[in-house]
Amino acid sequence: MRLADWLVVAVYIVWIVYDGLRRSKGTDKVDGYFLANRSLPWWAVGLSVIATQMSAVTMVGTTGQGYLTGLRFVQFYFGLPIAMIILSVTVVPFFTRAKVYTAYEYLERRFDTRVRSLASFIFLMGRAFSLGVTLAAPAVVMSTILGWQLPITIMVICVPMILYTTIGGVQAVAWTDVKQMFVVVAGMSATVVVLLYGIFDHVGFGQVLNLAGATGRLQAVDFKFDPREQYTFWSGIIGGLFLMLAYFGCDQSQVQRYLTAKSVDEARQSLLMSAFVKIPLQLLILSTGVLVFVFYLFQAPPMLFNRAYDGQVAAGPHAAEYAGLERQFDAAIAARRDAAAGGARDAFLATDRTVKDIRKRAADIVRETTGDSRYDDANYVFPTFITTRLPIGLVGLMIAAIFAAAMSASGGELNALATATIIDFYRRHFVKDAPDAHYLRVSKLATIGWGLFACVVAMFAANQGSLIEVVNRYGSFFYGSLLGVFILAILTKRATARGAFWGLLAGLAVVLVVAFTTPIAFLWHNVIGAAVVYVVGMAISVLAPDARAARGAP
Amino acid sequence: MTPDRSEPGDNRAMSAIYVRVIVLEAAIIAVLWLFGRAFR
Repeated sequence: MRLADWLVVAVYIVWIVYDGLRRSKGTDKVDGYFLANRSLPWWAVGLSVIATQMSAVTMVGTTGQGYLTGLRFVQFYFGLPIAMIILSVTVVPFFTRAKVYTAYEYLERRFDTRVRSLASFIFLMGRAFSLGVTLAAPAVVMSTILGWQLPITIMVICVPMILYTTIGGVQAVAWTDVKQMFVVVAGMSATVVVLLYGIFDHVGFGQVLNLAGATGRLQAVDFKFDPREQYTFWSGIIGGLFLMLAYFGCDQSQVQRYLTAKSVDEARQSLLMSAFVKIPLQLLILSTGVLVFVFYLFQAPPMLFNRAYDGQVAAGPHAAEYAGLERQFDAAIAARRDAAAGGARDAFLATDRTVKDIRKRAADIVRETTGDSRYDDANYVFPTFITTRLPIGLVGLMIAAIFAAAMSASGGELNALATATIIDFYRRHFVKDAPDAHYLRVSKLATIGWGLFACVVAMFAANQGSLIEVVNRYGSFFYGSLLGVFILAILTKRATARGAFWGLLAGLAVVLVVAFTTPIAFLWHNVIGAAVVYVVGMAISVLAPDARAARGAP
Repeated sequence: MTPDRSEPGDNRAMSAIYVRVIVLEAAIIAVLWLFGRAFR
């Protein structure tokens, strides 16, 4: 990174913190701090919804997936537009009109305090750990680029974000999200232009498609029904639908975004913006990964993108073999480049297989030498490309874009964690009738507390395989069960508090067993969790109705 | 306490948007599938 790039990053961070602090006006009451006085326009809420979901994990992990496997990951989002329609018709008008702060408040009105507290607690635990992973992604990137210690990098990312979220509340989060989305899209678009410019020096657009397609990277849709396969049309449209219903309907970090909208229709429109934009946006990011692959067909890539263990491998027992692999790799890359430029499909595929085999052996050597069984290369592909191939200034913009994505996703989550803590626990169980100023003070303390907790989690989550999958896997442990309890609450009058409580616990237990003992892909965990909660909850409600149901409630 | 699905906002304009969302998604999936078949 050159001085100009550092300046771009520094200007961005100062600007975003300044803007966040400027937005703290009108947040001197709980309603303003947590819900922006329900005053935001639909497009700002919509961009905030997208920004909260699109973290730095998306930028770093998804481009890595695009590089390695192509566009197939887009199937993960096939359920999203349908989920948005279902939510717009059902819970959005419901939550908005109920004037709740958290989604879980409704569970108390429908069932009892126990169900509300359990659901909120599950959200807090799941989201706090996910937030840690969300923060780890940019920390990994910056540590690799700068050679900084991970804790220092995490603090550099977290401190500005915690600062503006703590002081400005949800209003600061939403308006900085809007700006951060523009930075992210501008950065990605500029990168695509640079990639195409570099590729077109060697081949035309038709040949780009042929090369990417020959390696299977353009096979975006797979209609095969195999529950062990992570990304298929069916896992996306069914499992993804359940995950998105749960994420946007039961996860406070998303529900709180559209609770800030001016009206029911504006809240709906904010969600429908995601329905229109999300899949094309993911395609842009995945396509960037695919283009990076094509780019490196003509420009020599490193054998491994994650060079964190270079020194250890060079001094280890496999040093000679590793050096030999590097020579083989150079020869294979040259042969692949010639085959790709000459349009020799069979020779290209054969040399690509050789390159893949060499890379796999090299990664195995790193794992054997270091004992790091989770050593991963995918998340380093895009950062390596950014820092070694982009022109001056654009490197800074992309690093700022990764910061932007990290902060926008984490700010919303952090604010939601504080909201659930204060509204569902502190104000509900401990201090019930304090003045607004008191709740505002403890809300800010809760924001700082969760921010620091997430920083600690991030330090341990940095080397957990492909980061985008880790985040979604963590989420799928509890999302399905949360969705199940909301289905019980909303779709049937027969469900009782006892049924909902034990159904929720049963759903979580079954998902954990399934996750650790079967090869079923994680998207299906959401379906399983929701189904178990519903079935167990209804069975208990019918067989052992509680006193409230016996009185005819709700 | 169940949600009121007869919100005033849940009108024809919103329904038209819902239809557009579904049509767009179906079109994207179809194009991606055809694209995958054309280049493999």
